[in-house]
Amino acid sequence: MLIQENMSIKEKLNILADAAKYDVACTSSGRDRKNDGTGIGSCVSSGLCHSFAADGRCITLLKILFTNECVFDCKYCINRASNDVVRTSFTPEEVCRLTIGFYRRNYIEGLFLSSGVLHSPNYTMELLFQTVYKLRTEYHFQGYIHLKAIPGASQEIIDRVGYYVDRMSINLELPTADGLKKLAPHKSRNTILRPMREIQKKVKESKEELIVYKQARPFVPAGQSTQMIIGATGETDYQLVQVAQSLYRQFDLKRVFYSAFVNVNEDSSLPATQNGPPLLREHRLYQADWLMRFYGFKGEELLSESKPNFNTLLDPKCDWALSHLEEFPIEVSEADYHALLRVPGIGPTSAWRIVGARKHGTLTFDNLKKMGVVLKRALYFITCNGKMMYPTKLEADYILRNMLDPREKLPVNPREIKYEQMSLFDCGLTDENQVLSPDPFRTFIAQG
Amino acid sequence: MKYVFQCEDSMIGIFTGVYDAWDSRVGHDNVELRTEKSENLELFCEYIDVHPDEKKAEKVRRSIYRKLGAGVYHDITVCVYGTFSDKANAIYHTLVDCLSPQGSLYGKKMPSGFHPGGTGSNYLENLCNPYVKRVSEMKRNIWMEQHRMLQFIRFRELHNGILFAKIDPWHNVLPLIADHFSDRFPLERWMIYDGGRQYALAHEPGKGCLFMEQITIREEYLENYADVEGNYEELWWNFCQSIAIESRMNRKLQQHFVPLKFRKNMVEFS
Repeated sequence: MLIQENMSIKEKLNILADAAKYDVACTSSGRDRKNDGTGIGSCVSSGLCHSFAADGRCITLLKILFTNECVFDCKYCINRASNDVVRTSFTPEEVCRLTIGFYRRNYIEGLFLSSGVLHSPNYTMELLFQTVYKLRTEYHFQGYIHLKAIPGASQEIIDRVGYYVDRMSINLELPTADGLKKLAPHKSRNTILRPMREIQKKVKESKEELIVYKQARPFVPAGQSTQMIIGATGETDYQLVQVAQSLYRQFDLKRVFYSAFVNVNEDSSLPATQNGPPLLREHRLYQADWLMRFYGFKGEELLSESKPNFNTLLDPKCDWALSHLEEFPIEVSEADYHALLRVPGIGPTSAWRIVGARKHGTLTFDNLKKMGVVLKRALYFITCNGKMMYPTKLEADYILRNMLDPREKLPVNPREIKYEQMSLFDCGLTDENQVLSPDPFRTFIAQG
Repeated sequence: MKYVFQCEDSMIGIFTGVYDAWDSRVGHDNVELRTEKSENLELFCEYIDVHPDEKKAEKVRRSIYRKLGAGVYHDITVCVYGTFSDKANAIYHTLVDCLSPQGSLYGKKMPSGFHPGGTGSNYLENLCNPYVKRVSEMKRNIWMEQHRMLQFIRFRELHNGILFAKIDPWHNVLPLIADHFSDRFPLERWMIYDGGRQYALAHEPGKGCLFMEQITIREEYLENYADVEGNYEELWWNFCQSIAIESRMNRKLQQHFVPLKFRKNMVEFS
């Protein structure tokens, strides 16, 4: 193991930011706090992203590891003990100076501090506590702090540190206990879920205490989150959604993050990812996650034992709607908010707008379009004042065929058909690209 | 016959225009408010110049707040800061829809509640009315730019310890971001400068925040950065490079979130 002393702060930041980049969570939401006039910083509950990296992910917090030295040997992790990489550590003072320096220039919204395990989980957690404590008390920092809890750290330190941070998270890493045993031999279900449960209890207690004593310090006020790696072990989407749902229900998590597996170690126990990380799968899981959190869907509705994976061509909501056509069409001027939310192309904002606007007059499809309804998806499932937009059929095959048309051609209204002179281009003499590469969507439909 | 009320492009100007137009009793449908002087005169149209009057504006302001609630008041006042030529007219006809006996909301209780789109206590909901729709559209547009400013303003420390940021927004967002930064940096001296309009927002600890118009700042004064400034900019630039995952590169998505027009004042894109 290479441990270099006397590195400049720039080199350290490069190494420790690079090592932290596989952590997904970078949100600053869930906490509104005004400055009390004695320090620097505030929190905005909607969150503020201050920049975006070249991979399109937001840069909200100064996301760094405290150290990338680690005694754990998790197979998927770039900082595992058996890897030969340059190792270095910050001091609490350096982290504080960097955070304040960046924060004053409005580069960041706060600090995201994670760490490799140096010597032992307790020793590392104590270092993290010192850093956070220094930042809050000496530097009077009142911005957002997100801290990773180290699996296996004692409950006493976690209880202490919770009063100084806004959000805490413990990574679940892999959704099944078997996967965890195989790829992360030093972690166990118990060392991850036990502290999660403890934090949940403390948060609840703290909320009750705050009702009585307004001045009490809140414990982890922005709640906790976790992260799962997608595609490193063989679980299905159904299992992942079930795990996420039970985390939301039983552990009161604010967010579950999904991280498409990036193969950094080329280990024999890891799957080969030739086409890059499974980004589409990650995207579908996030879509399902949103459906569960904001649209009132249950995990069991989206997937089942017999249909364990998401459709790659359709988003989960369209997929659900196509298999539940008996609930459609929905009459926009009468259906309640929750029924509207189930229509593909209508989200919480446009559903709310529809509910508000229809009190004052009749709606038209043109109104709906202006309110932000995505009609190209919604038109198959809604009626407005008893009429559909076009004479479309309520059949799964028909809707699927039209939705997947890459040119997004709307169904032709027979009353509007115009007759035109045929041109050369109608006979298939289109541009070369189209002729040479058969359309993947069309072949899919032809195959069934 | 159409009556065009030409008012000054300010909160007082527009609200006085609303007062005068309402008071003129020529029929709401025949009224149009403009904040820009028309270059070409139209036939069958009377042009009336509105002189800003604080008392009239205050009456309008107060009745919006009292009768329509804090949420709608917020939406309408935000619109005043926009760079839209039809904003005064849209505001007037929205008020007609809410307050006049012909309007759809006359005598009804203003709806209130938190809605997932993010509107506050009371909100405009009759979106079938094109003017109401326009006001909520403008508000969203201005609020979006305001939010982008909170995200993308980059302060630089000058040699005298002042944090300085230059912005070139489309709307006049300075008054909308003053509270946020005053709250965030109460112990710092900072200044945000709107280069296009030559407006500035200056903050002094303990004295609060001041909005100034017609400010010109000499370039050489701004070139004089503190010694540590270059270090931090380099550190930040490096951080933004190393935080990206190579196998997930997605420049298009990045550009969706940080449009090019915001990048010229940002350190990490220079």
